[in-house]
Amino acid sequence: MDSTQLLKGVLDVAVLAVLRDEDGYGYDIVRRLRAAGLDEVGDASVYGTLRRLFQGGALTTYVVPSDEGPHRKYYAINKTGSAQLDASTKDWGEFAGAMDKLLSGKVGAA
Amino acid sequence: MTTITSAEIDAYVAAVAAALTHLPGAVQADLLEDLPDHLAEILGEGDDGTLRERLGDPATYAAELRSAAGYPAPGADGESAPRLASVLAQLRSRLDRTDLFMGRLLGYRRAREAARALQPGWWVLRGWLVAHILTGHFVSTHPTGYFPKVAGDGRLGALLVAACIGASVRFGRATSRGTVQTRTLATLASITIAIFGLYILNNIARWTYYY
Repeated sequence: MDSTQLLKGVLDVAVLAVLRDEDGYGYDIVRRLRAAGLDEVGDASVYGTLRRLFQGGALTTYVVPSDEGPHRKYYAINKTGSAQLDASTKDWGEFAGAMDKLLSGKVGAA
Repeated sequence: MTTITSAEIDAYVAAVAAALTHLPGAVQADLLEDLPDHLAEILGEGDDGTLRERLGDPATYAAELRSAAGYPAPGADGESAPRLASVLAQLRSRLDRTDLFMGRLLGYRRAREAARALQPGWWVLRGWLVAHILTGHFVSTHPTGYFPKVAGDGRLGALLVAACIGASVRFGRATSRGTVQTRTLATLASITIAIFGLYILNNIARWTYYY
């Protein structure tokens, strides 16, 4: 199964989950997603998702100045994003549960 | 912090930007905002390989970025075509609403249904008008009465009117069951006769005034 297709539907949720743990800047978020096991995730997809979530009001941003290196723009999850994550977690649980049942052949039971 | 080849970053950013020119300026700026920092981070990792090798072709990157951010592909929203389509759609809906409104005024569901119900009436009127046209009574030099006279004879005139009405009704029945082309030609003929009808009515009005 092509995991890039699977990932497209849930990248929003994955990004929100990563940010719930801790605020992060773009590339850091990409690394954390890959470390969690989503090694196929594309950089551009993560950045695009971050912009979309931000435009949708689920994230806030702030800049952390630095003397030695570049100023980094950090993303943080806000209340809207948290609510979105909770709802999506519930949806995901139901969806994954249904898929597990189907794949293990236990269809038919009400 | 290692030195970064900003030339390579600039080139990549420019190439990505080039693939996003179909989007509004504010959107482009938004999408490109994080890119230089992103590229700097990658080069800062110190791995071998150019930006292209690490991230892929800039056009592909741009497409993936745009798609994940929820914006349309180039050509997916051509300016003029949707505008024309939406104007036509508005026109169609306005016609439809007029159709329903006028229809209800006349006691029908739609004006079109009223028109169809009144069509045989038009056929009769058309026959009467054709009789006048055949006797040349649309010309203003001969004001005429409600019934045309054939060679001065009123009864012949009445016969002519009856014959024309009969023919008109038959013609109407036949063409209403015909092809689109037939019906279009019949409609054009009716419109022509109706225009003559205006002159005929004018003539009759003058006649009633004088007699």
